[in-house]
Amino acid sequence: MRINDLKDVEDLIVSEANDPLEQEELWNVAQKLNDALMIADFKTELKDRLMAKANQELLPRKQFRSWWWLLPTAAAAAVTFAVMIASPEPITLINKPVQEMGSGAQAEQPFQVADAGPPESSLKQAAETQSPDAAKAPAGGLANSMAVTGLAAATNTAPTAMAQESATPPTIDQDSTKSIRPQLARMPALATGGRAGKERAMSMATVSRPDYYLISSAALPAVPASLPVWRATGGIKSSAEVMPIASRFGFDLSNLQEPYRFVKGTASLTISLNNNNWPVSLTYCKPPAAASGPALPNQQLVAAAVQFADKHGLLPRDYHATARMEQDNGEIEVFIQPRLNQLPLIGPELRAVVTAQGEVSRFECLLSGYESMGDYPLLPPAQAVSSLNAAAGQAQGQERQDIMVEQMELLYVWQDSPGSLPIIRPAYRLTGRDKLGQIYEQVVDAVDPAYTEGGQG
Amino acid sequence: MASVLPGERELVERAKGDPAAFGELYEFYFDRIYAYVFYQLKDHPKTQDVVSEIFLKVLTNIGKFVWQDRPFSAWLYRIARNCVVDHIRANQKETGFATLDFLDPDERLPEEVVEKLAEAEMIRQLVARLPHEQQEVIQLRFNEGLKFKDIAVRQNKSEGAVKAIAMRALNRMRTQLAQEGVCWR
Repeated sequence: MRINDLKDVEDLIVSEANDPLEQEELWNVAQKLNDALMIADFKTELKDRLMAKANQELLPRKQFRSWWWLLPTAAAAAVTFAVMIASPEPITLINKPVQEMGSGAQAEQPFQVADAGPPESSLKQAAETQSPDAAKAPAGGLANSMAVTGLAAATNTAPTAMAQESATPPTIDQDSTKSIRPQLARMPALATGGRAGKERAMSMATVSRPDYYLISSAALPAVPASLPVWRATGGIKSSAEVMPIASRFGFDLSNLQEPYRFVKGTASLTISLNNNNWPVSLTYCKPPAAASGPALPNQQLVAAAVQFADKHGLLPRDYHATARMEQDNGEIEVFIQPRLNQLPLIGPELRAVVTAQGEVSRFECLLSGYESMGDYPLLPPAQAVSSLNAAAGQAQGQERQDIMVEQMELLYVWQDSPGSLPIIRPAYRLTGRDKLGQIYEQVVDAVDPAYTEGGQG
Repeated sequence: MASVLPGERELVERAKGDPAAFGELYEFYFDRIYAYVFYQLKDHPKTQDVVSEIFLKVLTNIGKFVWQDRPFSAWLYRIARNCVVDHIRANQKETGFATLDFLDPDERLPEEVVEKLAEAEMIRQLVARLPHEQQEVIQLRFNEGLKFKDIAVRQNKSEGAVKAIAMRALNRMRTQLAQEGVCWR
């Protein structure tokens, strides 16, 4: 917690207010103000942490339990393992400063929707996080419908079914939006209300206004007319594919303790095979050695996590790595978020726990690939703007038109699909604020409702 | 402040798989849990550590929560109480003593705690109603912890001008709080 030293405020009050009673009251105001804002600040910060955790744990809990989030790809894992075993060439590990890590660091050809520039927000994010080369990657041109993360070195020599998926990606028909496409199931609102929920009396504006009045200080993002919707593929389908993965982590058959659980010394690797169409999970644990040496800065710890993922062939081709949840002992959690079509993919991050000395003590991911379900037309951003007010209004049981949208971002969202493989679909994340400064967030489906079951999704 | 969350049962069930619903529960219960813990620990940094732990436990375990004949809040306060006990016991190892005089989770929050909660909310609303210039200085000073001279640099103003704005804001809030009947002592 931040301790706010109020000495200069006290000095100010003493110098400006002559009456001791007035001084006392002003000092009281300052202290109450400090407490109230400090608690509010903490409340927001804790909520952000909880919501990040909840978004990862609650949504997929039924399917994924503890390993939910991770989704480096399928193809990546098996292909890379196969390639690394087969290839005489050494694999180059990433060893770059954090600011160079980010999407595109590995991607020779970043995913891009043909003839459509990336959204402003993703360009901005790319400029902040990508390597210079990646940031300069030409817009448009590559229509790669198989959003496979992992080493770009993957080739089509891998023998597994999973590898074949990635090695021969189907190309997007440029006219695919005109082709027959199945209707998507409706996507539930993912974050209704965001930080909303305060019981506050609001004066309701009931004047009908065009949606663009609800945009404040942020232009509507430029978005492509359509984007692919992806289906997560099941990844490994046979036990024969497990051993190459285990060997990459230094395990062999003699370490096999129970089906797909390897134990060697204090290290363990657990791989759960495809079950009910859900992607395969991988969990690696190795209790860290006793701490020795200085604590490294967070950037280096993030770099260590990325290097670990890369070394084991699990690094998404396009990704963004961030550190969260620093522990008292200096350990951090690093989340590597895959990106599809240059957009962040919310939900299935890779997770690594890294000690203060840069040792990865836990690593979790899904071994899954993606296959395109075809391009779907997107709802124009202007038409999605009003959903923030609509959602807040619905949550509070009263009409809202006073929330100004300050940020609108196009991204991909991992969505569990009962009875079938998870679907990854484009969505708008809207962030806005009402007159009292209350912040609201909402994630809404970006696919044109005409292509969604039940109309308006 | 409403003491019962409308539609809580349905919300709790949704919160088992829906982060947004969990967020609504958090918004409703945060102040109460904070006040409950602070009442026991009387220290903001310790309170924040324990409150973080409480809500992380709630998030982790809400899937296991089963409705019986007690409200959700009883379960929540039970977690809070256990976390406070753990904290005090850990503290006991360091200091050699501990106070285990607890507010029972089933008891109502003391009047003074309820008043503090209302007052903190009122202050946040008053800040939101300050003129923009004053609001900005107050936020920078009290929320971000910047000193007046640093605020002056950031806002390209003299330190004297920033202090004058801060004083106007404090005086305005003092007047408004007095109108709301806030007792200073």
